[in-house]
Amino acid sequence: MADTIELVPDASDPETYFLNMGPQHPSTHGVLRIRLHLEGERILSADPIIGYGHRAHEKMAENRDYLQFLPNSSRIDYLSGMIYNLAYCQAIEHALELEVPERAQIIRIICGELNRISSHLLWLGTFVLDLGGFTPFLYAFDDREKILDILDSITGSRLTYCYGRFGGVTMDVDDVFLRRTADFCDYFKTRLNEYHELVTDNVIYQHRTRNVGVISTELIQDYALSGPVLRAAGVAQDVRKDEPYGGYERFDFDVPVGDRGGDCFDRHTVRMEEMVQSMRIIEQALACIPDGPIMAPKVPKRIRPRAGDYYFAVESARGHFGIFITSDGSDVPVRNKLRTPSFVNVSTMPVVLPGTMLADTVAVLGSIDIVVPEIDR
Amino acid sequence: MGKVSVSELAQNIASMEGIAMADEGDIAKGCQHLYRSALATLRPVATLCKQSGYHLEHITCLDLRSDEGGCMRLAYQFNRQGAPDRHLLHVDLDPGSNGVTISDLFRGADWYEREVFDMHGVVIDDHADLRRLLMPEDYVGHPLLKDFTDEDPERHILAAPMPAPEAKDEG
Repeated sequence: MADTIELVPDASDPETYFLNMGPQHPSTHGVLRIRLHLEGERILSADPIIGYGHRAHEKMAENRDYLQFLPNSSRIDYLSGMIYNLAYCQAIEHALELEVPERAQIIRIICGELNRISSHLLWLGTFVLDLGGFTPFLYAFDDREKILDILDSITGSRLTYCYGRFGGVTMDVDDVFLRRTADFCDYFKTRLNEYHELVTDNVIYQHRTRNVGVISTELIQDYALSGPVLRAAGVAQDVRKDEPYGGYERFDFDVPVGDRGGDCFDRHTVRMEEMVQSMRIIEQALACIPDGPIMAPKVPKRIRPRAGDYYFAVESARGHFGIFITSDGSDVPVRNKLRTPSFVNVSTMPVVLPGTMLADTVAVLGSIDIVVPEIDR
Repeated sequence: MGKVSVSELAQNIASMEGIAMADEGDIAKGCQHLYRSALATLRPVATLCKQSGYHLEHITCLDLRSDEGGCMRLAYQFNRQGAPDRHLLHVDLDPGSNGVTISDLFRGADWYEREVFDMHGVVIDDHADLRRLLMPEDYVGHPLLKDFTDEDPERHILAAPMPAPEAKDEG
């Protein structure tokens, strides 16, 4: 396909035409628009146009104090809201040098990993749905529902959690929660085999995803890719391993990588394996959860980090999520920059999409697991 | 992509002309190194980082015009894969002056620079395609400036109220 990329897009050429994909296309999973220049069904150039879901989170952060921004944090990415909510709490704790009690740390890890599984399940369901397979979608949503119920029982919400607090978590977990989580892990292991039979081994699925949308290693440094997209390209990088935060250093888990050079199928296998690893973390966490307080004893009433810059990164379900806070020592940050993984992943599309077929756009977009509110913030 | 040791890159950057090290009291928690750079030194530093196998983590802009010696500050953050070694670069610009692109060195800088232009109004010289990124292309103003007010607040309000639906005959 390499020779097709050399074709120069020429708008005056009657053989080529422009097509808007989105902003209301079902497989853009939100309001993302991609302006495609096509020759027949082959893509000559792609220009993602973003911002349809821009909600000015960064501006809002500059107009309210640190605590008031907390409910915003899970709305940056509503599919792994728990991870983003806890990430913001941890960023503030990092700035204030607050120690979080061990029990709260373990609870956070259990909730975060449950949320990661639910996010990957939604990805699996909608991705296969994009490619024309309806049944796995119902299976995935059924299982995701079980996770949402478990998280609902302690947080009181299903998507946009506000469970973290600076210094701990709002509510303690009870034995019912722990038992339900353990039961879910047992159940989900048998379920994963079904997913492999239903999806991974499906010949049509393999044909749609293999050698499609290759994100090669040369793009990695150029774009600073992260998350499953990076790991599918064969780089074992994970913020949880490289700079462990919030107690991840005490758990034993592997970082799965792809072995096919970073195509859509690699991203599938990496995410499937990540769910297994998340379960490993949850099971270890359930075995070692200690008794004790869930809030740090001395959390300042007014959050005022000393003047300066603070950067804190976590591994979200989509990759490296970084929070860059600049404080001037007052109640309100000067700047709260959100470095989101989907933003980076989508910005590679002008390079990745040209040369592929129009129908593969759906596969490529689906496989990088975009969440549009996270791109637009 | 020759890897250099942590201190080697830091020393190389620190020895460049136009680089000032951070003061004793400056905080850049989470970043291992903090420098203040002249605009002319930005591209040489970025080139050095790229050659050392580092990637660009993000670019952001801060509106510090109300501070003493007010400026628009561009913050560039470079990191490497594996164990983190973050180099944070502050480039202070006089209000109204332009930045310079590094998107030819790091293609990922393309959208970050467009975002800086869109949100803070800092024009980035030599950028191949400096369009707005998040706001509509006909938008007026730059929302993340501290003195931002919507110059056209009625833009999103319908010009005429929606006509009431006609009453249907009952029965």
